[in-house]
Amino acid sequence: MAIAYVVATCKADTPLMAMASGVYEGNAPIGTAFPYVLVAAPSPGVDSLSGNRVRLMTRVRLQIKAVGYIDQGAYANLTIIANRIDALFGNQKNPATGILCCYREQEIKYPDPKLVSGRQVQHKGGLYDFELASTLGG
Amino acid sequence: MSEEGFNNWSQIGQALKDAQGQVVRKTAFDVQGHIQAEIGNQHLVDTGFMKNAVYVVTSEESTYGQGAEPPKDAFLLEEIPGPGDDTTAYVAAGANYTIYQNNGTTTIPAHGFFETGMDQGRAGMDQAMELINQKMKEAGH
Repeated sequence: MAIAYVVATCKADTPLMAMASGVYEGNAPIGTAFPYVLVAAPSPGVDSLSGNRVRLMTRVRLQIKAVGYIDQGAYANLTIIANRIDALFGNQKNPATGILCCYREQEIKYPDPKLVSGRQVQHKGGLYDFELASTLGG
Repeated sequence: MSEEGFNNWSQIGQALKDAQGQVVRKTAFDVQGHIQAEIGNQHLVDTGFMKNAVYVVTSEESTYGQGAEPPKDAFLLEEIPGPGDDTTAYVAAGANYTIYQNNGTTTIPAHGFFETGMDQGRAGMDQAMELINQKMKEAGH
Protein backbone atom coordinates (compact mmCIF):
# COMPACT_ATOMS: atom_id res chain seq x y z
CA MET A 1 0.00 0.00 0.00
CA ALA A 2 2.77 2.40 0.91
CA ILE A 3 4.56 1.70 -2.39
CA ALA A 4 1.38 2.34 -4.34
CA TYR A 5 0.92 5.62 -2.49
CA VAL A 6 4.48 6.70 -3.20
CA VAL A 7 4.36 5.75 -6.87
CA ALA A 8 1.01 7.49 -7.37
CA THR A 9 2.20 10.60 -5.52
CA CYS A 10 5.37 10.77 -7.59
CA LYS A 11 3.54 10.30 -10.87
CA ALA A 12 1.06 13.01 -9.94
CA ASP A 13 3.80 15.50 -9.14
CA THR A 14 4.39 17.72 -12.15
CA PRO A 15 7.82 19.11 -11.11
CA LEU A 16 9.13 15.61 -10.45
CA MET A 17 7.81 14.14 -13.68
CA ALA A 18 9.23 17.06 -15.62
CA MET A 19 12.69 15.90 -14.55
CA ALA A 20 12.37 12.11 -14.36
CA SER A 21 11.69 9.71 -17.21
CA GLY A 22 9.46 7.56 -15.02
CA VAL A 23 8.75 6.01 -11.63
CA TYR A 24 9.40 2.31 -11.09
CA GLU A 25 8.97 -0.29 -8.37
CA GLY A 26 11.88 -2.53 -7.47
CA ASN A 27 13.93 -2.25 -10.63
CA ALA A 28 13.53 -0.24 -13.81
CA PRO A 29 13.27 -2.15 -17.09
CA ILE A 30 16.59 -2.56 -18.91
CA GLY A 31 17.19 0.36 -21.22
CA THR A 32 15.08 2.86 -19.23
CA ALA A 33 16.26 6.40 -19.88
CA PHE A 34 18.02 8.17 -17.00
CA PRO A 35 17.19 9.82 -14.70
CA TYR A 36 14.33 7.90 -13.18
CA VAL A 37 12.79 7.40 -9.75
CA LEU A 38 13.02 3.99 -8.10
CA VAL A 39 10.85 2.89 -5.19
CA ALA A 40 11.65 -0.30 -3.32
CA ALA A 41 10.59 -1.97 -0.10
CA PRO A 42 13.81 -3.73 0.83
CA SER A 43 12.56 -4.95 4.19
CA PRO A 44 9.17 -6.12 5.43
CA GLY A 45 7.10 -3.81 7.60
CA VAL A 46 6.96 -3.98 11.38
CA ASP A 47 3.57 -4.04 13.12
CA SER A 48 2.85 -2.17 16.34
CA LEU A 49 0.41 -4.20 18.40
CA SER A 50 -1.76 -3.36 21.37
CA GLY A 51 -1.53 -5.34 24.62
CA ASN A 52 -4.13 -7.77 23.33
CA ARG A 53 -2.32 -8.21 20.01
CA VAL A 54 -4.48 -5.97 17.84
CA ARG A 55 -2.56 -4.23 15.09
CA LEU A 56 -2.53 -0.49 15.71
CA MET A 57 -0.27 0.56 12.88
CA THR A 58 2.48 -0.67 10.60
CA ARG A 59 5.87 0.91 9.98
CA VAL A 60 7.26 0.37 6.52
CA ARG A 61 10.65 1.52 5.30
CA LEU A 62 10.92 2.40 1.62
CA GLN A 63 13.93 3.25 -0.45
CA ILE A 64 13.02 6.15 -2.72
CA LYS A 65 15.80 7.44 -4.93
CA ALA A 66 16.76 9.07 -8.17
CA VAL A 67 19.01 7.07 -10.48
CA GLY A 68 20.89 8.80 -13.23
CA TYR A 69 24.11 10.03 -14.77
CA ILE A 70 26.25 12.46 -12.83
CA ASP A 71 28.60 13.75 -15.52
CA GLN A 72 28.03 16.49 -18.11
CA GLY A 73 25.96 18.53 -15.68
CA ALA A 74 23.52 15.70 -14.99
CA TYR A 75 24.28 15.60 -11.27
CA ALA A 76 22.38 18.85 -10.74
CA ASN A 77 19.25 17.24 -12.17
CA LEU A 78 19.72 14.21 -9.97
CA THR A 79 19.93 16.47 -6.94
CA ILE A 80 16.78 18.33 -7.94
CA ILE A 81 14.89 15.04 -8.21
CA ALA A 82 16.20 13.81 -4.85
CA ASN A 83 15.23 17.10 -3.23
CA ARG A 84 11.77 16.87 -4.78
CA ILE A 85 11.38 13.34 -3.39
CA ASP A 86 12.33 14.69 0.00
CA ALA A 87 9.81 17.51 -0.30
CA LEU A 88 7.07 14.95 -1.04
CA PHE A 89 7.94 12.39 1.63
CA GLY A 90 10.50 13.95 3.98
CA ASN A 91 8.10 15.17 6.62
CA GLN A 92 4.47 14.59 5.85
CA LYS A 93 1.23 13.63 7.55
CA ASN A 94 -1.73 12.51 5.48
CA PRO A 95 -4.15 10.69 7.80
CA ALA A 96 -6.98 10.88 5.27
CA THR A 97 -5.10 8.38 3.10
CA GLY A 98 -4.04 6.21 6.02
CA ILE A 99 -0.47 7.52 5.88
CA LEU A 100 -0.13 8.67 9.49
CA CYS A 101 3.28 10.16 8.77
CA CYS A 102 6.37 9.70 6.67
CA TYR A 103 9.87 10.99 7.14
CA ARG A 104 13.39 10.39 5.92
CA GLU A 105 15.27 8.04 8.19
CA GLN A 106 18.55 8.15 6.32
CA GLU A 107 20.02 9.75 3.22
CA ILE A 108 21.53 7.43 0.62
CA LYS A 109 24.00 8.37 -2.08
CA TYR A 110 26.35 5.98 -3.84
CA PRO A 111 27.71 5.31 -7.32
CA ASP A 112 26.58 2.36 -9.38
CA PRO A 113 29.41 -0.19 -9.58
CA LYS A 114 29.38 -0.32 -13.38
CA LEU A 115 29.51 2.37 -16.02
CA VAL A 116 26.44 2.58 -18.24
CA SER A 117 27.25 3.56 -21.83
CA GLY A 118 30.65 4.58 -20.53
CA ARG A 119 29.18 7.03 -18.03
CA GLN A 120 28.97 7.04 -14.22
CA VAL A 121 25.54 6.48 -12.71
CA GLN A 122 24.62 7.51 -9.18
CA HIS A 123 21.82 6.57 -6.77
CA LYS A 124 20.63 9.53 -4.68
CA GLY A 125 17.67 9.66 -2.32
CA GLY A 126 16.81 8.23 1.04
CA LEU A 127 15.30 5.58 3.23
CA TYR A 128 11.86 6.79 4.24
CA ASP A 129 9.81 5.46 7.13
CA PHE A 130 6.05 5.34 6.67
CA GLU A 131 3.68 4.84 9.57
CA LEU A 132 0.46 3.39 8.23
CA ALA A 133 -2.99 3.07 9.78
CA SER A 134 -3.91 -0.53 10.58
CA THR A 135 -6.52 -0.51 7.83
CA LEU A 136 -3.84 -0.22 5.13
CA GLY A 137 -1.98 -3.39 5.98
CA GLY A 138 1.54 -2.50 4.92
CA MET B 1 32.53 16.12 61.02
CA SER B 2 32.80 12.89 59.15
CA GLU B 3 32.14 12.56 55.43
CA GLU B 4 29.24 10.28 54.67
CA GLY B 5 27.05 9.74 51.66
CA PHE B 6 23.35 10.44 51.94
CA ASN B 7 22.27 7.83 49.40
CA ASN B 8 23.44 5.27 46.83
CA TRP B 9 22.55 7.20 43.70
CA SER B 10 26.05 7.06 42.25
CA GLN B 11 26.18 3.25 42.63
CA ILE B 12 22.64 2.93 41.23
CA GLY B 13 23.57 5.15 38.30
CA GLN B 14 26.67 3.11 37.56
CA ALA B 15 24.75 -0.15 37.80
CA LEU B 16 22.17 1.21 35.36
CA LYS B 17 24.88 2.35 32.96
CA ASP B 18 26.58 -1.06 33.16
CA ALA B 19 23.31 -2.86 32.47
CA GLN B 20 22.55 -0.59 29.52
CA GLY B 21 26.03 -1.20 28.14
CA GLN B 22 25.51 -4.96 28.34
CA VAL B 23 22.17 -4.64 26.54
CA VAL B 24 23.73 -2.50 23.80
CA ARG B 25 26.60 -4.91 23.24
CA LYS B 26 24.31 -7.95 23.22
CA THR B 27 21.95 -6.18 20.82
CA ALA B 28 24.81 -5.36 18.45
CA PHE B 29 25.83 -9.02 18.27
CA ASP B 30 22.20 -10.06 17.90
CA VAL B 31 21.81 -7.62 15.00
CA GLN B 32 24.97 -8.96 13.40
CA GLY B 33 23.46 -12.44 13.59
CA HIS B 34 20.11 -11.26 12.21
CA ILE B 35 21.82 -9.53 9.26
CA GLN B 36 23.92 -12.59 8.49
CA ALA B 37 20.87 -14.83 8.74
CA GLU B 38 18.94 -12.53 6.43
CA ILE B 39 21.76 -12.61 3.87
CA GLY B 40 21.40 -16.38 3.94
CA ASN B 41 17.60 -16.27 3.85
CA GLN B 42 17.74 -14.16 0.70
CA HIS B 43 20.17 -16.62 -0.92
CA LEU B 44 22.89 -14.02 -1.29
CA VAL B 45 25.70 -16.32 -0.19
CA ASP B 46 28.22 -17.39 -2.81
CA THR B 47 31.68 -17.35 -1.25
CA GLY B 48 30.41 -16.27 2.20
CA PHE B 49 32.70 -13.25 2.25
CA MET B 50 29.96 -10.61 2.45
CA LYS B 51 28.08 -12.53 5.15
CA ASN B 52 31.13 -13.19 7.29
CA ALA B 53 32.48 -9.67 6.85
CA VAL B 54 29.58 -8.12 8.81
CA TYR B 55 31.19 -7.07 12.06
CA VAL B 56 30.57 -5.42 15.43
CA VAL B 57 32.59 -2.65 17.06
CA THR B 58 31.99 -1.84 20.71
CA SER B 59 34.03 0.15 23.19
CA GLU B 60 35.63 -3.13 24.28
CA GLU B 61 36.13 -5.17 21.13
CA SER B 62 35.86 -5.49 17.38
CA THR B 63 35.10 -8.53 15.24
CA TYR B 64 36.46 -6.83 12.11
CA GLY B 65 38.28 -9.02 9.60
CA GLN B 66 37.45 -12.38 11.10
CA GLY B 67 35.79 -13.73 7.95
CA ALA B 68 37.15 -15.48 4.91
CA GLU B 69 39.55 -14.02 2.37
CA PRO B 70 37.85 -11.77 -0.20
CA PRO B 71 37.19 -13.37 -3.59
CA LYS B 72 38.44 -12.00 -6.95
CA ASP B 73 38.13 -8.20 -7.12
CA ALA B 74 36.40 -7.81 -3.74
CA PHE B 75 38.15 -6.30 -0.76
CA LEU B 76 37.64 -5.51 2.91
CA LEU B 77 36.69 -1.91 3.64
CA GLU B 78 38.66 -0.02 6.25
CA GLU B 79 37.59 -0.71 9.83
CA ILE B 80 35.39 1.95 11.40
CA PRO B 81 36.66 3.50 14.66
CA GLY B 82 35.12 2.29 17.90
CA PRO B 83 32.55 4.28 19.86
CA GLY B 84 33.70 6.59 22.61
CA ASP B 85 31.37 5.19 25.25
CA ASP B 86 30.12 1.79 26.34
CA THR B 87 26.46 2.46 25.61
CA THR B 88 27.12 2.73 21.87
CA ALA B 89 27.97 -0.08 19.47
CA TYR B 90 28.24 -0.27 15.70
CA VAL B 91 27.32 -3.02 13.28
CA ALA B 92 29.10 -2.55 9.97
CA ALA B 93 29.64 -4.18 6.63
CA GLY B 94 33.20 -5.10 5.75
CA ALA B 95 32.74 -6.30 2.17
CA ASN B 96 33.07 -3.49 -0.37
CA TYR B 97 30.09 -4.69 -2.43
CA THR B 98 27.61 -5.01 0.46
CA ILE B 99 26.05 -1.63 -0.35
CA TYR B 100 25.19 -2.80 -3.87
CA GLN B 101 23.46 -5.93 -2.64
CA ASN B 102 21.70 -4.08 0.18
CA ASN B 103 20.66 -0.89 -1.63
CA GLY B 104 20.53 -2.17 -5.22
CA THR B 105 22.08 -1.09 -8.50
CA THR B 106 20.76 -0.50 -11.99
CA THR B 107 20.68 -4.26 -12.46
CA ILE B 108 20.36 -5.67 -8.93
CA PRO B 109 17.25 -5.08 -6.77
CA ALA B 110 17.65 -3.76 -3.23
CA HIS B 111 17.67 -6.60 -0.70
CA GLY B 112 17.66 -4.52 2.48
CA PHE B 113 19.09 -7.22 4.74
CA PHE B 114 20.78 -4.60 6.91
CA GLU B 115 17.53 -2.79 7.66
CA THR B 116 15.69 -6.07 8.22
CA GLY B 117 18.39 -7.22 10.65
CA MET B 118 18.25 -3.90 12.49
CA ASP B 119 14.48 -4.12 12.81
CA GLN B 120 14.72 -7.66 14.14
CA GLY B 121 17.26 -6.58 16.75
CA ARG B 122 15.24 -3.56 17.82
CA ALA B 123 12.56 -5.69 19.50
CA GLY B 124 15.11 -7.52 21.64
CA MET B 125 16.68 -4.28 22.77
CA ASP B 126 13.30 -2.80 23.70
CA GLN B 127 12.48 -5.92 25.74
CA ALA B 128 15.83 -5.86 27.55
CA MET B 129 15.50 -2.16 28.38
CA GLU B 130 11.97 -2.77 29.63
CA LEU B 131 13.33 -5.56 31.85
CA ILE B 132 15.78 -3.09 33.40
CA ASN B 133 12.91 -0.68 33.92
CA GLN B 134 10.86 -3.38 35.65
CA LYS B 135 13.76 -4.41 37.90
CA MET B 136 14.28 -0.80 38.99
CA LYS B 137 10.58 -0.42 39.77
CA GLU B 138 10.62 -3.61 41.82
CA ALA B 139 13.73 -2.45 43.68
CA GLY B 140 12.03 0.85 44.45
CA HIS B 141 9.07 -0.78 46.19
